[in-house]
Amino acid sequence: MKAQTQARGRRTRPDLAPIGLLVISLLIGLPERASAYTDPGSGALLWQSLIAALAGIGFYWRRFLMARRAKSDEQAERETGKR
Amino acid sequence: MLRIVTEAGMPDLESYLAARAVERRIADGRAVRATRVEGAECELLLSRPGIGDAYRQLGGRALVEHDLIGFVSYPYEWPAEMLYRAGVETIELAAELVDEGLGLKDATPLNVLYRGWCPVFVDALSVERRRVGDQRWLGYAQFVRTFVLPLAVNRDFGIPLGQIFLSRRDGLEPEEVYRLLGPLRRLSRDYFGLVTMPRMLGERRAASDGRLYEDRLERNGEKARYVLKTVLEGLRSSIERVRPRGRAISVWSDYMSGNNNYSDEQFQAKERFVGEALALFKPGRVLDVGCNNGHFSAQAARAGGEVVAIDYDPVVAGQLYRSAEAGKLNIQPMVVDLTRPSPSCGWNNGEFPAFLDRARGRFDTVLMLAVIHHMLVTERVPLDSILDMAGELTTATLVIEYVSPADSMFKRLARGRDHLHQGLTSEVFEASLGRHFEIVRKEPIAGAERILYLLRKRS
Repeated sequence: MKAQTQARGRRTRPDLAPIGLLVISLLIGLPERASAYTDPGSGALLWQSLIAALAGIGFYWRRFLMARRAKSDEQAERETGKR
Repeated sequence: MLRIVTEAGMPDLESYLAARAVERRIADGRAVRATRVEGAECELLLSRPGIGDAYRQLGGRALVEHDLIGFVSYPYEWPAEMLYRAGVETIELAAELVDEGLGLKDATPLNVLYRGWCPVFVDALSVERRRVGDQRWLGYAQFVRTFVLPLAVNRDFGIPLGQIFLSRRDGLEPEEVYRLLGPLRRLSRDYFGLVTMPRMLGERRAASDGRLYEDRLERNGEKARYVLKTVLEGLRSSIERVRPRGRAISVWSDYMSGNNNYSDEQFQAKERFVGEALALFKPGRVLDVGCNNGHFSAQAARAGGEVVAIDYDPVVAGQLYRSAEAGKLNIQPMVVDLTRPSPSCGWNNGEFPAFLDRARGRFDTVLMLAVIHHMLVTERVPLDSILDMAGELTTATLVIEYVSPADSMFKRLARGRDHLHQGLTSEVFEASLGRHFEIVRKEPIAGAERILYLLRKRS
């Protein structure tokens, strides 16, 4: 029973919950400050880098999944071939 | 229009000319045609002193010819629908270019002009070769500042695009928008990644940290392309979330569905008059002043005219944009108040010419239907001045509707100050018209205190 739920519960996306919690706690703890006009646009650039990093992880994860699917397809073919 | 390209711009020009994504768009009119002028024709053009001197002074390496685009308009003159559309064209072009190893250097509504309802990408040299492994788009922040955030604050706080773009060339910074947001909105899907996170990340850096702008190339080119596409798709979703939904209402948005002074017969009589005028004097370039949702603009467009339709209400201009695009009618809506039109702005008040400078003498047909009383009463512009301007705007035909002070709408606008407008009889009106125009046809609207005039400018 436990093994079954574990298999079904396996997620195919990177787990964002810990990142989300970190972000929210940072926001709540953030004091009001004067806006950063010295270098406008830097915030957006950093945010883009953050998304890019996550997308990068997604790229490798997708490749991993596709490779695994290819392998299991191969295995299934061999098995049906044998029978 | 001729463009002189210097050595530095040559690779970008070549990219633009080679890009298949651009070629597709040139074919359906969504990007400006660019043809290199070479050989004898080039020699001829360079022999002309104005062109030749500029070419040599700038160190020109190529001469490129572009089509002139309809009527130049700027983002502060667009309804939200047009800013949204320009943004979609921009981000979709950027995404399509990725597979060809190309990209856009920047992302601003100033790279887009309108031909009727159709957006045209005009900044040919914004297209550039991208290095393999480069997964960052430097136009990202500008796209957010100039397309997404203005649309968001326009929708959520009613801030007019005109106000944003007249005073700020480069749109809104996330920090500025953050101040407007309450705690819930800050965490909302619409604003979290566009405003809250950039602001927070921007503050936490040391101001002197220049490492942020250093080049960082990925070793895996395929990964870089995937990341870039993901980022661009994210922006596509962002602008989709702030898409104008057409649910906005304003004082004028239901004028055509009955909130006006005309009975059905009266309105049909007006339509007939305008239709006959357009048949008598075939329209070329038409200006419809106070167009509302463009009923008469559409009539002019169907009669073969290229129409620029102006109204000071962005909601109706937006409605007109939707119907022009849906019906593929050659109508370019603009949010312009003729009594307070867009000024010259930018550096030395010379970067973006004033609306009137672009408009004078450019139209052969001008429509001023059910609008003159607003200028006379609400804005207190003298009759002679209004008709002087009409004379400057049109080169030939004017269709104008006289509204008597006894008219109910006129009275409503006058708010009890009827005595100010006592002298505005139709005789006085015609005398003032006579200074610039000949009356070709005159038709009072039966049962209304209004008269339609078809006029031709005196030579």
